[in-house]
Amino acid sequence: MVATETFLLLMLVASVGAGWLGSMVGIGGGLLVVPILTLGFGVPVQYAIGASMVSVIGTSSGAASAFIKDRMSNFKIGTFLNAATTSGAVIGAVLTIFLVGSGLSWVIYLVFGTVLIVSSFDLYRKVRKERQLSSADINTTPNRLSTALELRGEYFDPSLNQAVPYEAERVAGGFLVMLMAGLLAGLLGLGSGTLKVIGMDIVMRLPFKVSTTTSNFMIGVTAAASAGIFFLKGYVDLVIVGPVAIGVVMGSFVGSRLVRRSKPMYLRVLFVIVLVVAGVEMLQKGVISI
Amino acid sequence: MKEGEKEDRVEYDLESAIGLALRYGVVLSSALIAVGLVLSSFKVGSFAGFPPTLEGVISTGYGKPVYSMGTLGAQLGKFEPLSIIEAGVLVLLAIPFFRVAVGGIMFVAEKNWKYVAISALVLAVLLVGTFIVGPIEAR
Repeated sequence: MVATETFLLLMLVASVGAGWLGSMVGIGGGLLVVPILTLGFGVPVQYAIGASMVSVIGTSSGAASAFIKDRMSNFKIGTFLNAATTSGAVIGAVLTIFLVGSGLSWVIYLVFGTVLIVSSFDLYRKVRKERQLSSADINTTPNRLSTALELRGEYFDPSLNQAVPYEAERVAGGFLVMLMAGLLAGLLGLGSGTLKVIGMDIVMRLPFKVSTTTSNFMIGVTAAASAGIFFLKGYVDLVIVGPVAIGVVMGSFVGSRLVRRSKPMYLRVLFVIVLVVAGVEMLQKGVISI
Repeated sequence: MKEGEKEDRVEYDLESAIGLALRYGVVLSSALIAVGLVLSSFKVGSFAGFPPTLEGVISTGYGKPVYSMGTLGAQLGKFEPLSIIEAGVLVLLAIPFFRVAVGGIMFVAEKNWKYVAISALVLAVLLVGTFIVGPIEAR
């Protein structure tokens, strides 16, 4: 087994890399932290999830402070949907504790592996979305729930060079997806930003940029709902969480500054490969330990 | 129109305040964790270093937080590396609570009672999760 000091050093470097790569392509570092800890260092999955969950709060809060200035994220939509994600995250955390306690950790590995592979597909969707950006598929028709809950707004789109108004559609469906996103976040120690964006972008038909920035804003609050439970349960090991938390925050800080300038296509391809490999490995680990 | 602009201004100031608080919170927490990690490589006072292997750290439950504020405070006074890391983690855990609360205050300033209620609901879920579900699950 690895020496503690070697672990601290390697994990710090790996976390910086995960945070950096994650923010460059728009996916949270948590997706990579858990596989690195479990597959790379043989850390039991609950401690990996605990460490990841804490680091997710750091990246989200750091990113959100930058995005607030852009005035892209929708505070009301985020707050409303956080009611769903936090509830889901509490249930997810309870589920994780149950699975670990009943020797069913393999379920977590299988779900995690699936999420990694699905996320790799989503990266392609993002690339496509950015290319054909048009305001045609943005909903602007008010409906009963979106009016009652004021789920609308307007953002300035630089590529269209105009202000784009929008209004949420299928609010109940979006709320349900957010409940699922929260559950998955709590279960796996992720931000589950991908599912949040799908909920807002596809289900509620909000503009993609509003969806991604609002999702970033929501992630930290979602994570906090389960992080506290994991902390009290003893899943947050301070030696393990130390290098992960500062590493991911540092990495994503650097990445979010760089991402404004470049559109790193090759990084996305690299990330897709990393996600698929990690996904297959996690599935394998799950199947082996059934 | 003037009224709307003024409301926008209040909202913008509060949002900037939230942004700053978030950033400094994260910086403070990262700094504490970093100091804790750096201190761990020096054997200060009664601290004899982490267990030599990662396996040892996990199997002995060495990195488990202390759950008493009194104990944590006493250890912080002795610059125990783990307690400094724990303080950093606690700062990080507190940030979203703070953020939801400030968001709620922002809606109070706007007299948007619907969203004051929704913010309160989110805060309630966070509090119930951490202080009711958490202790039950920890037993």
